[in-house]
Amino acid sequence: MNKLRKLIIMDDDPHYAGMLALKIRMQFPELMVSSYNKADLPGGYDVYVLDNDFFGEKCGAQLAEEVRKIAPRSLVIVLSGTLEFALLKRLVNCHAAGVFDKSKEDDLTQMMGLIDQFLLQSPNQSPVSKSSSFQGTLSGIRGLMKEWNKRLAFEEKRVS
Amino acid sequence: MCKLGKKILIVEDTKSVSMLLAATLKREGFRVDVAETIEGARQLLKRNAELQCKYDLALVDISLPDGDGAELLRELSSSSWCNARYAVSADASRSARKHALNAGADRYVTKPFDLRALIDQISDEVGRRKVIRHNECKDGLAAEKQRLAQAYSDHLFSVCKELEAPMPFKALRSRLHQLRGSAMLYGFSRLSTLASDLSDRLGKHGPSFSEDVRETLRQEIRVALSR
Repeated sequence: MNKLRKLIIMDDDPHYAGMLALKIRMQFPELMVSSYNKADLPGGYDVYVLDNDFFGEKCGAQLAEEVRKIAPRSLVIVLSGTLEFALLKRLVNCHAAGVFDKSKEDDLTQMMGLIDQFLLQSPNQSPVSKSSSFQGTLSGIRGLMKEWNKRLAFEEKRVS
Repeated sequence: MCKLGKKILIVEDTKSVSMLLAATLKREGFRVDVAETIEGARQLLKRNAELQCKYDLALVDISLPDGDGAELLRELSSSSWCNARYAVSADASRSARKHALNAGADRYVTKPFDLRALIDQISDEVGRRKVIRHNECKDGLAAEKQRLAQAYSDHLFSVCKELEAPMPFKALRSRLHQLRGSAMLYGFSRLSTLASDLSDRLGKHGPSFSEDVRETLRQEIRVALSR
């Protein structure tokens, strides 16, 4: 039996989380979308959209690393106001699929594309029951590596 | 949460088969329409098109009282009102299968079929395809969007009040961070850009710049709310 796939938005701003959840629901009616405004991680979701800044603390990378432990086959997306090289590198290392600027419309469009790709490549599977879901995520990530590399190169140049 | 409707059209003249399929699909959470004839199916498709609704999948029996189900499959595949099509028939011959697939069927199901396996196939099929929302759900989402927009305006109003008094540096930075993201989502792009700019400047100049930030931000929020 196929499972309803679930996405969670973790953001300390309920207004942002509410509207983002609505936009995601409009684009992906097949997803069950929830939002959560605490920095402790609930398990069992297929897609995690994490805000990097929780009440002034930059904890997106830490959250992404924790998600990798509790839901290794899930898609992890981090939203950040600042795309720092150190953050990007840490996120690549924990296999986050993307980091997007939450104030840029183009970035949100890219994020939707990434979710779409993930849903198409791992259709209706539980995040923990089948290994092919992970394969889907990996191949999705492969497609995004170009974008990642571009960003990393840009940030590295900017920092040095 | 609007559990949105994957909508299935069953075109089948054998009542026991259509009732069993419809009941099982409904129990699985699908919305189901049933027609017993090609003409009945055409009417349902017309009604759906008027409502701007699509079927996510149609299960079409090949032998129908008023004609060849393949004819309907051909119509469905050339229109945009049905995303996927399964042909159902008791004829297991290769020529019958070829006939249905050539008419636009995505899959050929022979009777008697394994109900559980068929339901799983349908779930997989519609899960892979983009689901088309129904008008009633669209209305629900539009109303929710309006509620959120109103709540955000109220929130901006209270932020404006909050900015009248001095606030801790960290809280101000956090507020700017929130505004740059949320203002963009709610269509206040100028406020979002300003929050981003002020956040950068506050980072450079430190707490001494806080008062300027609060005043500039308040002015822009007032402008945003007055529109």
